[in-house]
Amino acid sequence: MAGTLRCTVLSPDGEVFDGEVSFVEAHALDGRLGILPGHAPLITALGEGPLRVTLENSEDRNWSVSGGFLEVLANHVSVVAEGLREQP
Amino acid sequence: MATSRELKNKIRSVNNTKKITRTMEMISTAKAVVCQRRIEATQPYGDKLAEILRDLGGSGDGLSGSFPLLREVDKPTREVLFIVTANRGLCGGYNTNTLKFAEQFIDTQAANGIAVDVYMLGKKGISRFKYLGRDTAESMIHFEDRPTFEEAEAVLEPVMTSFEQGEIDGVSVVFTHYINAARQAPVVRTLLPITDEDSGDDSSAKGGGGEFILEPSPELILGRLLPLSLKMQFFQALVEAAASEQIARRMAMKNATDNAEEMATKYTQLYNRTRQAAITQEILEVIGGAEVLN
Repeated sequence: MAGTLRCTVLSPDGEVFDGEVSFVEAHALDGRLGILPGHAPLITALGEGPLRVTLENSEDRNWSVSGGFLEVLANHVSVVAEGLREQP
Repeated sequence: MATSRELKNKIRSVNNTKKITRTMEMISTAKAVVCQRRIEATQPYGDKLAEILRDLGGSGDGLSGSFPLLREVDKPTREVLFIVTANRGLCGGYNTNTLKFAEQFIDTQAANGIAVDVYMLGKKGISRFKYLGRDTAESMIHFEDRPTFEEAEAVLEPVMTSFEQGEIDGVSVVFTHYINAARQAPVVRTLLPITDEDSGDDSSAKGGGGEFILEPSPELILGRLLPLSLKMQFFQALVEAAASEQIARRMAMKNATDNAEEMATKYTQLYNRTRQAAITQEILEVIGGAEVLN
Protein backbone atom coordinates (compact mmCIF):
# COMPACT_ATOMS: atom_id res chain seq x y z
CA MET A 1 0.00 0.00 0.00
CA ALA A 2 1.30 3.38 -0.90
CA GLY A 3 2.13 5.49 2.13
CA THR A 4 0.06 6.26 5.15
CA LEU A 5 -2.34 8.89 6.31
CA ARG A 6 -2.80 10.47 9.69
CA CYS A 7 -5.96 9.71 11.60
CA THR A 8 -7.38 11.49 14.63
CA VAL A 9 -10.44 10.20 16.44
CA LEU A 10 -12.12 12.66 18.80
CA SER A 11 -14.98 12.20 21.24
CA PRO A 12 -16.52 14.96 23.37
CA ASP A 13 -14.44 13.69 26.30
CA GLY A 14 -11.13 13.95 24.50
CA GLU A 15 -8.82 12.51 21.94
CA VAL A 16 -9.24 8.78 21.56
CA PHE A 17 -6.75 7.98 18.86
CA ASP A 18 -4.09 9.81 16.91
CA GLY A 19 -1.58 8.15 14.65
CA GLU A 20 -0.42 7.02 11.23
CA VAL A 21 -2.73 4.52 9.60
CA SER A 22 -3.06 2.87 6.24
CA PHE A 23 -6.83 2.59 5.97
CA VAL A 24 -9.95 4.03 7.59
CA GLU A 25 -13.39 2.56 7.19
CA ALA A 26 -16.39 4.42 8.51
CA HIS A 27 -20.15 4.20 8.32
CA ALA A 28 -21.40 7.33 6.61
CA LEU A 29 -25.05 8.27 6.45
CA ASP A 30 -25.48 6.81 2.99
CA GLY A 31 -23.30 3.76 3.29
CA ARG A 32 -19.85 2.50 4.05
CA LEU A 33 -16.88 4.62 3.25
CA GLY A 34 -13.27 3.59 2.88
CA ILE A 35 -10.42 6.06 2.92
CA LEU A 36 -6.96 5.31 1.60
CA PRO A 37 -3.93 7.61 1.59
CA GLY A 38 -4.25 10.47 -0.88
CA HIS A 39 -8.01 10.80 -0.62
CA ALA A 40 -9.56 14.03 -1.90
CA PRO A 41 -10.81 16.56 0.70
CA LEU A 42 -14.14 15.39 2.07
CA ILE A 43 -16.63 16.22 4.76
CA THR A 44 -19.30 13.71 5.58
CA ALA A 45 -21.82 13.01 8.30
CA LEU A 46 -21.54 9.66 10.06
CA GLY A 47 -24.44 7.38 10.86
CA GLU A 48 -24.50 4.62 13.42
CA GLY A 49 -22.04 1.87 12.79
CA PRO A 50 -18.52 0.62 13.12
CA LEU A 51 -15.37 2.64 12.61
CA ARG A 52 -12.32 0.63 11.69
CA VAL A 53 -8.78 1.91 11.47
CA THR A 54 -6.00 -0.25 10.06
CA LEU A 55 -2.62 0.59 11.50
CA GLU A 56 0.65 0.41 9.60
CA ASN A 57 1.39 -3.05 11.00
CA SER A 58 -2.02 -4.13 9.65
CA GLU A 59 -3.52 -4.37 13.11
CA ASP A 60 -7.08 -3.11 13.42
CA ARG A 61 -8.66 -0.77 15.94
CA ASN A 62 -12.44 -0.79 16.13
CA TRP A 63 -15.01 1.56 17.60
CA SER A 64 -18.73 1.83 17.33
CA VAL A 65 -19.82 5.31 16.41
CA SER A 66 -23.22 6.94 16.60
CA GLY A 67 -23.41 10.23 14.78
CA GLY A 68 -20.68 12.71 14.15
CA PHE A 69 -18.51 13.81 11.26
CA LEU A 70 -15.52 12.78 9.27
CA GLU A 71 -13.24 15.20 7.53
CA VAL A 72 -10.42 14.43 5.15
CA LEU A 73 -7.96 17.21 4.46
CA ALA A 74 -4.36 16.98 3.25
CA ASN A 75 -3.98 13.29 4.05
CA HIS A 76 -5.37 13.78 7.53
CA VAL A 77 -8.60 12.07 8.56
CA SER A 78 -10.42 13.56 11.52
CA VAL A 79 -13.33 11.69 13.02
CA VAL A 80 -15.47 13.83 15.30
CA ALA A 81 -17.84 11.34 16.88
CA GLU A 82 -20.92 12.22 18.86
CA GLY A 83 -21.10 8.88 20.62
CA LEU A 84 -18.11 6.58 20.65
CA ARG A 85 -17.36 3.20 22.20
CA GLU A 86 -14.19 1.17 21.78
CA GLN A 87 -14.66 -2.39 20.65
CA PRO A 88 -12.09 -5.14 20.97
CA MET B 1 -8.43 36.98 80.71
CA ALA B 2 -9.54 33.54 79.62
CA THR B 3 -8.56 30.62 81.80
CA SER B 4 -6.00 28.17 80.51
CA ARG B 5 -8.65 25.48 80.21
CA GLU B 6 -10.76 27.64 77.91
CA LEU B 7 -7.74 28.47 75.81
CA LYS B 8 -6.82 24.81 75.54
CA ASN B 9 -10.31 24.02 74.26
CA LYS B 10 -10.10 26.80 71.71
CA ILE B 11 -6.72 25.60 70.43
CA ARG B 12 -8.07 22.10 70.06
CA SER B 13 -11.17 23.22 68.18
CA VAL B 14 -9.19 25.49 65.84
CA ASN B 15 -6.79 22.66 65.09
CA ASN B 16 -9.69 20.34 64.30
CA THR B 17 -11.17 22.88 61.92
CA LYS B 18 -7.77 23.27 60.31
CA LYS B 19 -7.62 19.54 59.66
CA ILE B 20 -10.97 19.65 57.90
CA THR B 21 -10.21 22.68 55.77
CA ARG B 22 -6.82 21.31 54.82
CA THR B 23 -8.43 18.04 53.73
CA MET B 24 -11.01 19.93 51.68
CA GLU B 25 -8.23 21.96 50.14
CA MET B 26 -6.38 18.83 49.09
CA ILE B 27 -9.53 17.21 47.69
CA SER B 28 -10.32 20.32 45.67
CA THR B 29 -6.76 20.48 44.40
CA ALA B 30 -7.04 16.92 43.13
CA LYS B 31 -10.46 17.53 41.59
CA ALA B 32 -9.31 20.78 40.00
CA VAL B 33 -6.48 18.94 38.25
CA VAL B 34 -8.96 16.41 36.85
CA CYS B 35 -11.29 19.20 35.69
CA GLN B 36 -8.47 21.14 34.09
CA ARG B 37 -7.44 18.02 32.23
CA ARG B 38 -11.00 17.64 30.97
CA ILE B 39 -10.99 21.21 29.68
CA GLU B 40 -7.86 20.44 27.72
CA ALA B 41 -9.33 17.16 26.49
CA THR B 42 -12.54 18.73 25.20
CA GLN B 43 -10.66 21.51 23.45
CA PRO B 44 -9.62 19.63 20.27
CA TYR B 45 -13.17 18.39 19.71
CA GLY B 46 -14.64 21.88 19.93
CA ASP B 47 -11.86 23.28 17.74
CA LYS B 48 -12.40 20.59 15.11
CA LEU B 49 -16.14 21.23 15.00
CA ALA B 50 -15.51 24.94 14.56
CA GLU B 51 -13.00 24.11 11.83
CA ILE B 52 -15.45 21.91 9.94
CA LEU B 53 -18.08 24.63 10.29
CA ARG B 54 -15.59 27.09 8.80
CA ASP B 55 -14.65 24.73 5.99
CA LEU B 56 -18.31 24.28 5.31
CA GLY B 57 -18.90 28.02 5.39
CA GLY B 58 -17.62 28.53 1.88
CA SER B 59 -19.74 25.79 0.37
CA GLY B 60 -22.75 26.32 2.58
CA ASP B 61 -23.51 29.90 1.65
CA GLY B 62 -27.13 30.82 1.21
CA LEU B 63 -28.32 27.83 3.15
CA SER B 64 -29.33 29.70 6.24
CA GLY B 65 -32.92 30.13 5.15
CA SER B 66 -33.63 26.44 5.37
CA PHE B 67 -32.53 25.94 8.98
CA PRO B 68 -34.77 26.77 11.91
CA LEU B 69 -31.66 26.96 14.10
CA LEU B 70 -30.28 29.72 11.91
CA ARG B 71 -33.45 31.75 11.81
CA GLU B 72 -32.83 35.41 12.29
CA VAL B 73 -34.42 37.30 15.13
CA ASP B 74 -35.32 40.93 14.53
CA LYS B 75 -36.81 41.82 17.84
CA PRO B 76 -36.22 39.29 20.60
CA THR B 77 -38.87 39.21 23.31
CA ARG B 78 -38.13 36.06 25.25
CA GLU B 79 -34.99 34.09 25.88
CA VAL B 80 -33.66 31.26 27.98
CA LEU B 81 -30.73 31.82 30.29
CA PHE B 82 -28.83 28.96 31.87
CA ILE B 83 -27.04 29.91 35.07
CA VAL B 84 -24.35 27.48 36.16
CA THR B 85 -23.72 27.49 39.91
CA ALA B 86 -22.47 24.90 42.38
CA ASN B 87 -24.42 22.45 44.49
CA ARG B 88 -22.15 23.09 47.45
CA GLY B 89 -20.87 26.13 49.21
CA LEU B 90 -17.55 26.76 50.91
CA CYS B 91 -16.04 28.00 47.69
CA GLY B 92 -15.49 31.68 48.38
CA GLY B 93 -17.17 34.11 46.04
CA TYR B 94 -17.75 31.60 43.27
CA ASN B 95 -21.53 31.37 43.53
CA THR B 96 -22.07 34.96 44.59
CA ASN B 97 -20.04 36.37 41.73
CA THR B 98 -21.74 34.21 39.12
CA LEU B 99 -25.19 35.01 40.45
CA LYS B 100 -24.59 38.74 40.76
CA PHE B 101 -23.39 38.78 37.18
CA ALA B 102 -26.46 36.81 36.09
CA GLU B 103 -28.83 39.11 37.98
CA GLN B 104 -27.31 42.12 36.28
CA PHE B 105 -27.67 40.45 32.89
CA ILE B 106 -31.31 39.58 33.55
CA ASP B 107 -32.05 43.14 34.62
CA THR B 108 -30.38 44.57 31.51
CA GLN B 109 -32.39 42.24 29.31
CA ALA B 110 -35.58 43.15 31.14
CA ALA B 111 -34.84 46.82 30.57
CA ASN B 112 -34.54 46.04 26.86
CA GLY B 113 -37.93 44.38 26.91
CA ILE B 114 -36.70 40.80 26.83
CA ALA B 115 -38.27 38.34 29.22
CA VAL B 116 -35.74 35.88 30.57
CA ASP B 117 -36.61 32.29 31.50
CA VAL B 118 -34.01 31.22 34.01
CA TYR B 119 -32.80 27.63 33.93
CA MET B 120 -30.86 27.34 37.15
CA LEU B 121 -28.18 24.72 37.59
CA GLY B 122 -26.96 24.08 41.12
CA LYS B 123 -28.51 24.22 44.59
CA LYS B 124 -26.79 27.45 45.56
CA GLY B 125 -28.32 29.43 42.74
CA ILE B 126 -31.75 27.92 43.33
CA SER B 127 -31.81 28.91 46.98
CA ARG B 128 -30.52 32.42 46.29
CA PHE B 129 -33.15 33.09 43.64
CA LYS B 130 -35.81 31.70 45.96
CA TYR B 131 -34.56 34.05 48.67
CA LEU B 132 -34.58 37.05 46.32
CA GLY B 133 -38.01 36.14 45.02
CA ARG B 134 -36.81 35.83 41.43
CA ASP B 135 -38.49 33.33 39.15
CA THR B 136 -36.79 30.26 37.78
CA ALA B 137 -38.43 28.38 34.96
CA GLU B 138 -36.48 25.21 35.54
CA SER B 139 -33.94 24.06 38.11
CA MET B 140 -31.48 21.22 37.98
CA ILE B 141 -29.10 19.87 40.59
CA HIS B 142 -27.69 16.77 38.93
CA PHE B 143 -24.54 18.40 37.54
CA GLU B 144 -21.59 17.70 39.80
CA ASP B 145 -17.88 18.07 39.21
CA ARG B 146 -17.94 15.67 36.24
CA PRO B 147 -20.65 16.79 33.82
CA THR B 148 -21.05 14.44 30.86
CA PHE B 149 -21.82 15.31 27.28
CA GLU B 150 -24.99 13.22 27.39
CA GLU B 151 -26.31 15.16 30.39
CA ALA B 152 -25.57 18.46 28.69
CA GLU B 153 -27.30 17.22 25.54
CA ALA B 154 -30.41 16.16 27.43
CA VAL B 155 -30.75 19.59 29.04
CA LEU B 156 -30.11 21.63 25.92
CA GLU B 157 -32.18 19.69 23.41
CA PRO B 158 -35.67 20.80 24.52
CA VAL B 159 -34.49 24.41 24.60
CA MET B 160 -33.14 24.13 21.06
CA THR B 161 -36.49 22.76 19.96
CA SER B 162 -38.38 25.69 21.46
CA PHE B 163 -36.00 28.05 19.67
CA GLU B 164 -36.66 26.28 16.39
CA GLN B 165 -40.39 26.54 16.96
CA GLY B 166 -40.10 30.23 17.69
CA GLU B 167 -41.23 30.03 21.31
CA ILE B 168 -38.02 31.69 22.44
CA ASP B 169 -35.66 34.03 20.58
CA GLY B 170 -32.37 33.31 22.27
CA VAL B 171 -30.37 31.01 24.50
CA SER B 172 -27.46 32.14 26.68
CA VAL B 173 -25.37 30.66 29.45
CA VAL B 174 -23.87 32.45 32.43
CA PHE B 175 -20.97 30.49 33.87
CA THR B 176 -17.56 31.03 35.35
CA HIS B 177 -15.14 31.08 32.48
CA TYR B 178 -11.86 29.33 33.10
CA ILE B 179 -9.26 31.72 31.69
CA ASN B 180 -6.29 29.99 33.26
CA ALA B 181 -5.40 28.30 36.53
CA ALA B 182 -5.13 31.64 38.30
CA ARG B 183 -8.01 33.53 36.69
CA GLN B 184 -11.68 32.74 36.37
CA ALA B 185 -14.45 35.20 35.74
CA PRO B 186 -18.21 35.00 35.19
CA VAL B 187 -19.21 35.52 31.56
CA VAL B 188 -22.31 35.24 29.46
CA ARG B 189 -22.11 33.26 26.24
CA THR B 190 -24.83 33.42 23.62
CA LEU B 191 -25.58 30.06 22.04
CA LEU B 192 -28.56 31.13 19.97
CA PRO B 193 -29.22 32.92 17.71
CA ILE B 194 -26.02 31.95 15.95
CA THR B 195 -24.08 35.00 14.91
CA ASP B 196 -22.25 35.27 11.62
CA GLU B 197 -18.80 34.69 13.00
CA ASP B 198 -19.90 31.44 14.63
CA SER B 199 -21.32 30.00 11.46
CA GLY B 200 -17.99 30.47 9.75
CA ASP B 201 -18.86 33.36 7.53
CA ASP B 202 -15.52 35.10 8.02
CA SER B 203 -13.18 35.73 5.16
CA SER B 204 -10.58 33.07 6.03
CA ALA B 205 -13.19 30.37 5.50
CA LYS B 206 -14.11 31.07 1.94
CA GLY B 207 -10.74 30.06 0.56
CA GLY B 208 -10.76 26.39 1.51
CA GLY B 209 -14.44 25.66 1.57
CA GLY B 210 -15.29 25.04 -2.03
CA GLU B 211 -12.80 22.26 -2.56
CA PHE B 212 -14.45 19.75 -0.28
CA ILE B 213 -16.56 16.86 -1.42
CA LEU B 214 -19.64 17.04 0.76
CA GLU B 215 -21.46 13.80 1.40
CA PRO B 216 -24.39 13.37 1.34
CA SER B 217 -25.25 17.08 0.98
CA PRO B 218 -24.13 20.36 2.51
CA GLU B 219 -27.61 20.89 3.95
CA LEU B 220 -27.59 17.57 5.72
CA ILE B 221 -24.15 18.08 7.15
CA LEU B 222 -24.90 21.58 8.37
CA GLY B 223 -28.19 20.38 9.79
CA ARG B 224 -26.32 17.93 11.97
CA LEU B 225 -23.25 19.98 12.65
CA LEU B 226 -25.06 23.00 14.09
CA PRO B 227 -26.83 21.21 16.94
CA LEU B 228 -23.71 19.24 17.77
CA SER B 229 -21.62 22.37 17.89
CA LEU B 230 -24.14 24.09 20.18
CA LYS B 231 -24.23 21.12 22.52
CA MET B 232 -20.47 21.08 22.60
CA GLN B 233 -20.33 24.77 23.51
CA PHE B 234 -22.79 24.18 26.32
CA PHE B 235 -20.89 21.14 27.52
CA GLN B 236 -17.62 23.06 27.51
CA ALA B 237 -19.26 25.79 29.61
CA LEU B 238 -20.26 23.17 32.17
CA VAL B 239 -16.79 21.66 32.25
CA GLU B 240 -15.20 25.08 32.69
CA ALA B 241 -17.64 25.97 35.46
CA ALA B 242 -16.80 22.74 37.27
CA ALA B 243 -13.08 23.50 37.11
CA SER B 244 -13.61 27.08 38.28
CA GLU B 245 -15.66 25.84 41.21
CA GLN B 246 -12.94 23.51 42.38
CA ILE B 247 -10.29 26.19 42.03
CA ALA B 248 -12.44 28.66 43.97
CA ARG B 249 -12.97 26.10 46.70
CA ARG B 250 -9.28 25.33 46.88
CA MET B 251 -8.50 29.02 47.33
CA ALA B 252 -11.22 29.46 49.97
CA MET B 253 -10.02 26.43 51.88
CA LYS B 254 -6.41 27.48 51.66
CA ASN B 255 -7.31 30.84 53.21
CA ALA B 256 -9.31 29.09 55.91
CA THR B 257 -6.38 26.80 56.71
CA ASP B 258 -3.98 29.73 56.89
CA ASN B 259 -6.35 31.61 59.18
CA ALA B 260 -6.73 28.60 61.43
CA GLU B 261 -2.96 28.28 61.65
CA GLU B 262 -2.66 31.92 62.64
CA MET B 263 -5.35 31.59 65.27
CA ALA B 264 -3.77 28.47 66.73
CA THR B 265 -0.41 30.27 67.04
CA LYS B 266 -2.07 33.25 68.71
CA TYR B 267 -3.99 31.11 71.19
CA THR B 268 -0.94 28.98 71.99
CA GLN B 269 1.01 32.11 72.85
CA LEU B 270 -1.84 33.37 74.99
CA TYR B 271 -2.08 29.99 76.69
CA ASN B 272 1.63 29.96 77.50
CA ARG B 273 1.44 33.47 78.87
CA THR B 274 -1.50 32.57 81.11
CA ARG B 275 0.27 29.47 82.34
CA GLN B 276 3.45 31.44 83.10
CA ALA B 277 1.45 34.11 84.92
CA ALA B 278 -0.13 31.43 87.10
CA ILE B 279 3.27 29.93 87.93
CA THR B 280 4.72 33.33 88.77
CA GLN B 281 1.72 34.03 90.95
CA GLU B 282 2.17 30.76 92.83
CA ILE B 283 5.89 31.35 93.45
CA LEU B 284 5.14 34.82 94.76
CA GLU B 285 2.58 33.36 97.13
CA VAL B 286 5.06 30.71 98.39
CA ILE B 287 7.75 33.33 98.94
CA GLY B 288 5.23 35.62 100.66
CA GLY B 289 4.16 32.79 102.93
CA ALA B 290 7.78 31.94 103.83
CA GLU B 291 8.51 35.60 104.64
CA VAL B 292 5.62 35.67 107.08
CA LEU B 293 6.97 32.60 108.91
CA ASN B 294 10.37 34.27 109.39
